[in-house]
Amino acid sequence: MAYKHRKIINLLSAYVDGALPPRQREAVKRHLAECSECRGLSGELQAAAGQVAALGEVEVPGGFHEALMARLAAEPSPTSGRWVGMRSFFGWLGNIGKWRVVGYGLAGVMVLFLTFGILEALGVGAGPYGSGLMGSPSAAQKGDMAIGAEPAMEGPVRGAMPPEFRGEYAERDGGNQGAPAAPPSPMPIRKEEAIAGDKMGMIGPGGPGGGGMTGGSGSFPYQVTERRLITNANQTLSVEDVERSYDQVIQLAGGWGGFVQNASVQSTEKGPTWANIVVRVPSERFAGFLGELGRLGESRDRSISTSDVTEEYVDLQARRTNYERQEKRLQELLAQTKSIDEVLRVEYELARVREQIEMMVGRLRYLESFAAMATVNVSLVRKGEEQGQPGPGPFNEVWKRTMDVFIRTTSRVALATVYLVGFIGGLIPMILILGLAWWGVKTVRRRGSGA
Amino acid sequence: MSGLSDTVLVAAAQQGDLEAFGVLVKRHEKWVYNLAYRMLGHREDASDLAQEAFLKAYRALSRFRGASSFKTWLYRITSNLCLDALRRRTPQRQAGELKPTVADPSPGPHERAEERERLAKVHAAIVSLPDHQRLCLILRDLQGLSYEEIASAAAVNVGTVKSRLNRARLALRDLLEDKEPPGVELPVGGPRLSRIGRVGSGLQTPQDH
Repeated sequence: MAYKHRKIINLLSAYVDGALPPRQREAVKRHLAECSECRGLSGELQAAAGQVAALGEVEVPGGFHEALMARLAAEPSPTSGRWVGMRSFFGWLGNIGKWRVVGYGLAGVMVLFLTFGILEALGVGAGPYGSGLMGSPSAAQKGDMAIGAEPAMEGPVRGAMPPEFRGEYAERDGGNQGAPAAPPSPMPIRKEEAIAGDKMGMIGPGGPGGGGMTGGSGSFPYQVTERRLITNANQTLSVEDVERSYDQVIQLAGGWGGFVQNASVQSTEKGPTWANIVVRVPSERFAGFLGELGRLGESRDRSISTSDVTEEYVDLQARRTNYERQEKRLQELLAQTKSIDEVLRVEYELARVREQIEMMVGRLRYLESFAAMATVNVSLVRKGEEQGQPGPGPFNEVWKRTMDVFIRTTSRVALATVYLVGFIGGLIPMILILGLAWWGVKTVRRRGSGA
Repeated sequence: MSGLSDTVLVAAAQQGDLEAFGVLVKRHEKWVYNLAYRMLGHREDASDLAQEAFLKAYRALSRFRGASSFKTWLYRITSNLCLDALRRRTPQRQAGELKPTVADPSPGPHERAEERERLAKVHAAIVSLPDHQRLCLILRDLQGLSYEEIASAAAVNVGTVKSRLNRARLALRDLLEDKEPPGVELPVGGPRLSRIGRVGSGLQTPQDH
């Protein structure tokens, strides 16, 4: 085999060390016989190796051994169960396929999370049985505390409900007060409030303090300047001409500074027989509007209901102030934080607090708008059509129920989505930890692979 | 206990016998220290690193299952630590590192001054080699490991060891111009000295990759 000069040079060290396989050794030997340059070089390489060898060994500095043994004595014993246990565990995992086990584990956790998330979202934790399943009674109580003192008429169930449900409920209630035929169905008892209260406690000294402040209505630092009332009315009128009365109602609403929120007309071949108009008028002009309305036709059915949301409103404001203070503190903290890990944690906390504030602001706006404008549900029925025909009452009921179910379903689907997003977000740290652990195990294995 | 084999001592140490590990330390500390010294070029660094190597071995002892000899395993730990330490060094430190080590204090008082000077120059030349080449050279020519043992200590294949060692020796030959027989006094101020001086100032050799 003819090796080029250059290639031979690369083999010379191994040649002089006798570390070449036979064929290469023979090739180098043949080349050396005819190349004086390479012969010289191989001698020089041997000399270089000799120079290194001539350096000899230096003695370990005095005290080295003793210092090392002292440090070793301070180490935990290499037998300490931790590693042995880990080893046997990983050995067991190895037998049935490490990655398969990890996969099953992850899938299991996911299924658990999803199941609970969906159950929660669909309100299985809602009914009389569910509340015990999903949230402990003490958690519900805490939630109640965090919200603040509720008017006694609203009952304990209402107290444990998140504000977004309560509002809707309050309205529904209002609508139903004159019609006892449809008692309020039990609404889900949720534990978000309790969780929020707990988290507040976790953040720092401001959290629990804030809870106490909002919980005890006697020590409110906020002045109740005006009452926030949400007013609802139902009015059914029997009229000669549904279409004409319909226009009149709309005109009347405009005249009293209100607006039409929703309107529908039902017609047969004989013309319009029934209409429904939802009017919003400024609360302070509500009574006047209702009086005028009664003159448009023969009043058949009238109900008025009012719910006082002053407590909730003030409470929300207090909590919002508290959260805003917390946000400020967190922002100050963020400015001082150095390590990435801490920055991330503070920012996570900040985002959470901001979300709470946003929720409260939204709810406050909602309360403000509903307290400012009363809602009047006007039904117009053509005279003589009340009997035999599918009456407006039952229809109204069906429609209301449909809307109710629709709203509830939508909010639950939205909640489910929120849970899902939260779940995926919650997985990120887990994935990070798993990745780190995997990387760690790999590194340790690579380093110690002599073993 | 000092008459027992590494394998027996390792097994005892794994059972928690610190004395057995002490014997292992005694048995291997010299070459561990020497490897660290020639790799890092500095005695204090070498002492720290050698201690670190034994501590690391002790901590990882429960995972040592005897797939290789304890010595090979320890070689690997030490080599890794040396390469890591060198990688972490700032270029500034690396350059400044060489000067104090030129005066190698190891030879006894009976040795002639020029012999001491020559050894110091070889040491300086070795320290100036690229890290991986230096590792192969020290393991082979100072510590007498086989190519296979070097491959396992440096976690590379035998072919890589061959080429690195060859390049290291070629570079060393250029640095020392070892055509003259060892022991002959170096001409003061000659071209050779200026060459070593360049090494001493931390400049790299043309053979670097």
